Amino acid sequence: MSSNSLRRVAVVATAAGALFLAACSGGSSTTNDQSSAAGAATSEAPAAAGVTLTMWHQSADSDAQLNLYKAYEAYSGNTIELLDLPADTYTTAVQTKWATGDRPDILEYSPAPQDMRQLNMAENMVDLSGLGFVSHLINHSGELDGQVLGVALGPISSYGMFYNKTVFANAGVDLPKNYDDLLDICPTVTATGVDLINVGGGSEFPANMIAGFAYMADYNADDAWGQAVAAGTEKVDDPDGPIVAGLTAVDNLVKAGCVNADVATATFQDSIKAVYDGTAALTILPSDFISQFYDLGDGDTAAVDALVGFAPISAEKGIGSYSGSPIGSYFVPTTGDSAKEAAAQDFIEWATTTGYQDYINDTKSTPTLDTATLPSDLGELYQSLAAILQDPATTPAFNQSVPGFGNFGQLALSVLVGQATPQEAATKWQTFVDQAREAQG
Amino acid sequence: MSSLSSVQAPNQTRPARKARFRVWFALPSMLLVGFFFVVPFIANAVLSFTRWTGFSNTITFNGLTNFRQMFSLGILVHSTLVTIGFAVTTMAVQNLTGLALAKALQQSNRVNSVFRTVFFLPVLMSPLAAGYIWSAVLDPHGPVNSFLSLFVRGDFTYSWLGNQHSALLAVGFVDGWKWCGLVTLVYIAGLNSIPRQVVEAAIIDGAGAWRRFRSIEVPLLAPAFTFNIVVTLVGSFSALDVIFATTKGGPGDATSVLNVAVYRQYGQGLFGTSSSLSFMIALLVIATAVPLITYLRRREVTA
Repeated sequence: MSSNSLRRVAVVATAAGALFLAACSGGSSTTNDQSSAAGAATSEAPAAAGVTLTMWHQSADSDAQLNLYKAYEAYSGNTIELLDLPADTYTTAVQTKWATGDRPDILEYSPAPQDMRQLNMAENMVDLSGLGFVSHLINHSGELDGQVLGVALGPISSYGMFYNKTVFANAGVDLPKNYDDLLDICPTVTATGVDLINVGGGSEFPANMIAGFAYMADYNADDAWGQAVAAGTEKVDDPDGPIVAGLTAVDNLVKAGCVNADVATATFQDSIKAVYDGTAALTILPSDFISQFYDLGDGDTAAVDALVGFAPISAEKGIGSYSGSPIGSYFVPTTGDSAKEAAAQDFIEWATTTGYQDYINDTKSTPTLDTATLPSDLGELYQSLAAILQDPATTPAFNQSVPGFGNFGQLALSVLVGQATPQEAATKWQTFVDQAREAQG
Repeated sequence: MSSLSSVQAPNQTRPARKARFRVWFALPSMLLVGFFFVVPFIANAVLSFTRWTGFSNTITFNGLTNFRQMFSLGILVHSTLVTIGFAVTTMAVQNLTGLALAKALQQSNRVNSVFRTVFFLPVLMSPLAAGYIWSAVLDPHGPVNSFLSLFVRGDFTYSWLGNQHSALLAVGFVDGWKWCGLVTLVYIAGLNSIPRQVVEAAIIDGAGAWRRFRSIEVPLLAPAFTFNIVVTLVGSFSALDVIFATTKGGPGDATSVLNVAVYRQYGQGLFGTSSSLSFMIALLVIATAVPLITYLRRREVTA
């Protein structure tokens, strides 16, 4: 090789190396910055004024969240600059910006432990354990490995069934509480010419709901099952375990003709409409969609309440599960700018004290702090949700601590459409869980 | 000697000046290619061999671990096969339909201009919009099945996008439809560049329309075939938007092309394995495009 050629190779190699080192140093310099902000925040953190705070937030934030930001600005004299990120790809959008080393002063994000780990929050967030709201928390959303790194103001989601009361009355059957009940009432309900269950598999996440979130409520008290999977002491592909059982229950429902024929392409919007129109008896979805049922009623809350109900359903016990929503959950990333970090904590402090009851009233949600009370003017669907969330039997959603959960929806759907057996899907999921566990070290 | 060198100096510098002049014209393209292709390609190649996740703030080299992991999970082989299946379907749909349309719309007149525009419109449409439209068209209760119901007893409610056997063909067709207009224009240009004398001589010799197409037009369309086949095949390797709008990679993983797998890995904070899959796409493009172009270019010389 000539000296010229060698020189060219060296230049290319140096450029590639420099590029890689730049990428590496981007991550580590952030770590160094973070060390300056180590230590738990306290209620006595100095309140800053006249500070401009950048917040990454979901474009799906409702008026209630936007009102919260404006009210804080009026109260504090600080300014919150919102960076809209699309709701349907929010997690990916945040991760993309995060991976480049970019940081907001306040981050709206999912308070589930597994999602929090994806941003390495233990090292990248201010510990809020010393703030006043911590002693008033009703659930553990926003906690990671004993630290409170974020606050889930609400709404908190629960996973249950939206059902059409008229369809059940016409069929003359009781409301199911578990998956055996579903199989029992299936022939009677379908004989009236409607689907028992509508699953919007085309949106993928509804497959999670019926195969995981609802079924698994029985098995994840205190998040024990999820943490056992994360620790490797429990396997999701255990032939006698709850995941295989849940997928088998779903498979049986499909084979018995209890699920809509267009399960692979129907969307969650189709499911909501099917229940509202009475072409399906029920659909299993997060409580986040209560407002969409009320929207179908054109503001006639009483009419919707007379037609649609929301109730828990699980493997056997008929209990619900919950998780904090990415909407209304806030974190304070360590940026190295102590004034902004203090102002961001001031926002959390204010939102969990002075501004909290107004926020709860505005969102019509169940409080996550014992300092606020349930709004008095809730529709029946919201009341049903509140009852589930206040029930001590309600358990954390099964996905909270499970590594590699992101693949479950696709695998559950493969069972729903007959592409894989329950055991095959569970076995494949275990390989993804193992991959994610390895990645987390 | 000195007078000779003083005479030769301007002659030697003129080509050099010309070369520098040309470099200035090439510079914007070189910068764009460097910034948007070479740098990301090298970065992606390097990051493919690293343990880079959202779970840690540090990036470390891990050799071939990412590739081994993607192989053992079955993602690498499955997604590569699905990608190839999708690309071949799309390429076939675009080129067969595009060539047929080009023949039909070859003559330049007002009517054909209108139809050329109509068939080119999908190219201008957002791939996501095209995907959403076709999701509705191919719905079990959508217009396609309603039309087919006219010819069969009862309601025809086949789920084109929901059945694992037809979903890949269906999304391949949708992507083919989306880009078909571009391919058509290239074929029209190719057909119209064939010397008229050659065709007229064949007519005089008694060659029919099919014989003229097979023996004259197809061989002389070789440059157009080279461009269209390579662009449609290689372009399909990096498809994502149409698939996301129609099936999201499903049902199950029936339409999980490599880019869907990249997206899923990335979405779980596994950036290193995501990079390794992206690198596989780049290798797939190179491994396909280079021999394909070489073969098709040789064929052009023969023609």
